[in-house]
Amino acid sequence: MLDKPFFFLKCFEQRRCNVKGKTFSVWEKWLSLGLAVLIISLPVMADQIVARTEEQRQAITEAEKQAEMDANKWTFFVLGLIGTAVTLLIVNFIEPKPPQSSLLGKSQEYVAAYTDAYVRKVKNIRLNYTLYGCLTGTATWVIFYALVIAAAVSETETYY
Amino acid sequence: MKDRNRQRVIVLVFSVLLLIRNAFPQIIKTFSADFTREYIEGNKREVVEGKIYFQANSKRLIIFVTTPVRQWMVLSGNETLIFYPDSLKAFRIKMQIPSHMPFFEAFIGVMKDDYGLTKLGYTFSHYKRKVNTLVSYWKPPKNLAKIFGEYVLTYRDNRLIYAELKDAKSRIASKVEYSSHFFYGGTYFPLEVLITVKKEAEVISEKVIYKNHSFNSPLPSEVINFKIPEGTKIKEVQW
Repeated sequence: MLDKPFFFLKCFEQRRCNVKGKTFSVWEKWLSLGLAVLIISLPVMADQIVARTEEQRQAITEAEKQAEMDANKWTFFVLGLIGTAVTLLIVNFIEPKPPQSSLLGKSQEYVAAYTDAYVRKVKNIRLNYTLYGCLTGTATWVIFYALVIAAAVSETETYY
Repeated sequence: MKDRNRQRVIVLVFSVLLLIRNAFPQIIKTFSADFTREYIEGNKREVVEGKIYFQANSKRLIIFVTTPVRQWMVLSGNETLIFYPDSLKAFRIKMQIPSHMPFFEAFIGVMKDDYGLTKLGYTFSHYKRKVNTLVSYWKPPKNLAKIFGEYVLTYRDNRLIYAELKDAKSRIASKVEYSSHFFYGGTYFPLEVLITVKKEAEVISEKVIYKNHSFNSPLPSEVINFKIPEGTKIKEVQW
């Protein structure tokens, strides 16, 4: 019925058209018109989709690059080193602040992708480095206590 | 570590500019101009054109971008509003620090005699004078001396033409070059501003050219009464 969409474009000059002896209703013609428009515009839409995706990819790349610079990794490492598990929770709520000039003259898709990617990346970096600090601090204390206990045990053995 | 120092340099430069924006004398009530901003970072080059409006009483900066996209950007207090009139979509970004646009503050910063350095803790060190050129040198505060070096301001014929920040190793970290000055209210304002920040192997530059400028003229009603139309989809962003 719809194997030749372009044929049906001509049908819209009339209320009904005949194809191989069969009469098509108006809604069938509208459906075929829609399909025809879709087929014609697919290459254009594909280009736009690719362009938007590429723009969003660029926004994410720029945002993550800026986030790497703004994240203050080593500050949060130290925070993790001296803090507790609560530090991890606090870090998750500290919002980063990217520069507004990065968004000037950018499309809405870019701004949306950039803001999301930036906040996500900075939080991720800060959380990771705080965790590394926490783990390093914990490991240090474990080693310290192990040494203290070992020293205490060897002293006791000496007395025997 | 190097990235962190570079970031500190940028923060210091923009802190100076932000302080200037908050402290300038009230000879300017409104300002408007067409602008072209060219941003170059490595192989990336971006050009933005539009119109900029400034309201001193409310310290509100409104930018209407016409190229490459139609975009309104309103900076007021701790909030930045980005609005796309063609698609009725907007982003409202709330921050913990005042919103600012560095390239405009570099323009308006020439009004301050000390460029706002005193308030940042810089102290005047010495100056050199040659015919119509005056170069002043400013020492950084002690708590920042390990990161930042001296600030150098150069005036020629009473026009601020150059501002330079050095790092602790006396290398140029960033500089602002001013040209094409015009005289208004006792100050020479630059119509061309070039901000350059040095990275390790890269240089970031931002050049802004102003045209059709106007001081203390009534701003268009669409700017004074700027509001997002009803039906706009707003995304709230907390930074």
